[in-house]
Amino acid sequence: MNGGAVESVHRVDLVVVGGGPAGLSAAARAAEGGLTVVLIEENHQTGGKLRGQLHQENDGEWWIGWTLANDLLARVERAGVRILTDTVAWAIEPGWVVRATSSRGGDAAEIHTRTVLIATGAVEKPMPVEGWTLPGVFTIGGAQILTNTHRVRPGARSVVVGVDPLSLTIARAMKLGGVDVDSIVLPPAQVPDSDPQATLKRLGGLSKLAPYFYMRLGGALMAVPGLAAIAARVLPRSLPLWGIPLRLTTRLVRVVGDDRVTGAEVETVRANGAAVPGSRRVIRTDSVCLSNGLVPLSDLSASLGLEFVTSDSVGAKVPVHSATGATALPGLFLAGNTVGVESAKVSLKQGEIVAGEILATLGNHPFKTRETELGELRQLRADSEFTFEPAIQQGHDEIAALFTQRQEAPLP
Amino acid sequence: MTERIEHHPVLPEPPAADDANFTFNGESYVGRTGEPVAAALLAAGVRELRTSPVAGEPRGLYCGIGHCYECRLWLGPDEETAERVRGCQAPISDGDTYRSTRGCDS
Ligand SMILES: Cc1cc2nc3c(=O)[nH]c(=O)nc-3n(C[C@H](O)[C@H](O)[C@H](O)COP(=O)(O)OP(=O)(O)OC[C@H]3O[C@@H](n4cnc5c(N)ncnc54)[C@H](O)[C@@H]3O)c2cc1C
Ligand code: FES
Repeated sequence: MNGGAVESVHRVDLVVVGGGPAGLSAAARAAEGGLTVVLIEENHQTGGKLRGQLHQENDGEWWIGWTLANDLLARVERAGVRILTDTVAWAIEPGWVVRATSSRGGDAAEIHTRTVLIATGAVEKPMPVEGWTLPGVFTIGGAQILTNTHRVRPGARSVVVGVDPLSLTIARAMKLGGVDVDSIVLPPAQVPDSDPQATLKRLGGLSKLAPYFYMRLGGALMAVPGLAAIAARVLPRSLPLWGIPLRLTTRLVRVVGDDRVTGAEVETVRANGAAVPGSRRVIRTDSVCLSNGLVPLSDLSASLGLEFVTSDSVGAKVPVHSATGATALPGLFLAGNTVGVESAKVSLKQGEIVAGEILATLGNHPFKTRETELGELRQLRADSEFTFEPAIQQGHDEIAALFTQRQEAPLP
Repeated sequence: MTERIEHHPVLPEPPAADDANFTFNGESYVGRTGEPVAAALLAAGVRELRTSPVAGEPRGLYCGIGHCYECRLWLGPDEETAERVRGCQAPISDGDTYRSTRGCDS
């Protein structure tokens, strides 16, 4: 690995920007197919968000991102990919040129390449609330990385704020790492659709996709469609989730502390989100972890002037692209969470598929298995334990259709 | 006091890493070579990494993935040549010198 200075590299077949599961799997397949590949990753380690993942699958098996990331890296290295870690790609120019700098400063390098894959993943949406800038407030993803990748507890104790697949999973991982997780509570009132009823409805929609995961949430209560609204009225104050109290009628009011977190002020709410007067109290804690969902990171695509489309099914504004990750700019490809937030399994497959497309584009190989692999991608989406947007397949189909339409009749 | 997770019930042990001695605002700490300096500091109980430009409020690691820049620090013994780095990203090496960015210099 590089770990520091970046020198200019002349003429490779493919530059992959982002060393998460999508970028790594694409780099591996492309290099195995005979391409010269450079992979750029701004972190010190490759693996992206995969490295910190830890959850149990529907069959009870552990998904250990740490191990998967290491295995994937070994495959990428065996395939002969040139890996530049500690390196940020900050500009991509048609033709193609990728400009990159060491994340420890220094001169910029330029890499000339026939194709570019943007696989920069997703980032977390902030949850502004009084006290959120205090040391000891983390995003839930920050807590995941600290606990599972760096093996440092975000705090001795923690209150997790936000009820979604990520926050529930990471709360459990924090507990496994020895953090005293006081409770998981609802976001502050200003976060849209965060009242108990709306939260239950959302969780109910996901429960069909991940029975094992959501069985833990009180089984029947969640699994029966339509019950969510009724359930909200008879909601228990606390549901035990892997021994962590999930408090669906408690929400954060503010984070408390002078120069660091010392507590979380919460209040009790009714099913519709109305606060119960006089219910405010402070939970003593040295850390608070905020979870407010994810959004694709697509600044590099935006800088290239790609057409973006807002898709409710994908749950984001993403660049128009084909089912295999091609864009309107020949030689520019996209894969992974940069085109919609999904599980690592889906990202891995997207990486494989886009590499197949890149190999076909450069003429080295016909992409004989394209339809089969797109079918596998569909199946992975349908079976995913980890779903952020239940209708994402539909969203991707619509975007792919739009791409085809634009190919046939480009915008003026 | 340390907040390091020494033995995890599910995760495999991370590869052994050499100790790295470093300083932060003149104090000495020991971390593990290659880990981000903010993680090493957190393990040592240090949460405040810098102060904000306007009100001088304390700030610490927030996103952990290099996105928010709340963790920015100076790396290097010499004020003139120090580099601004993100504490959640910068891998520590033995002998590193870090300083908080303070107020307007951040
Ligand atoms: C905080 C968080 C936690 C998550 N937890 C889970 C989970 O537990 N289970 C699950 O299934 N899914 C989870 N996800 C979804 C996750 O994004 C996918 O599982 C998967 O990791 C996406 O893969 P990717 O390769 O598209 O992106 P990522 O894994 O995000 O990888 C993108 C990589 O690109 C790098 N990068 C970005 N911009 C640049 C640049 N300009 N130059 C160089 N490098 C750059 C980043 O440093 C990163 O390593 C999580 C997502 C987030 C944000
Ligand atoms: S904590 Fe967000 S960039 Fe370092």
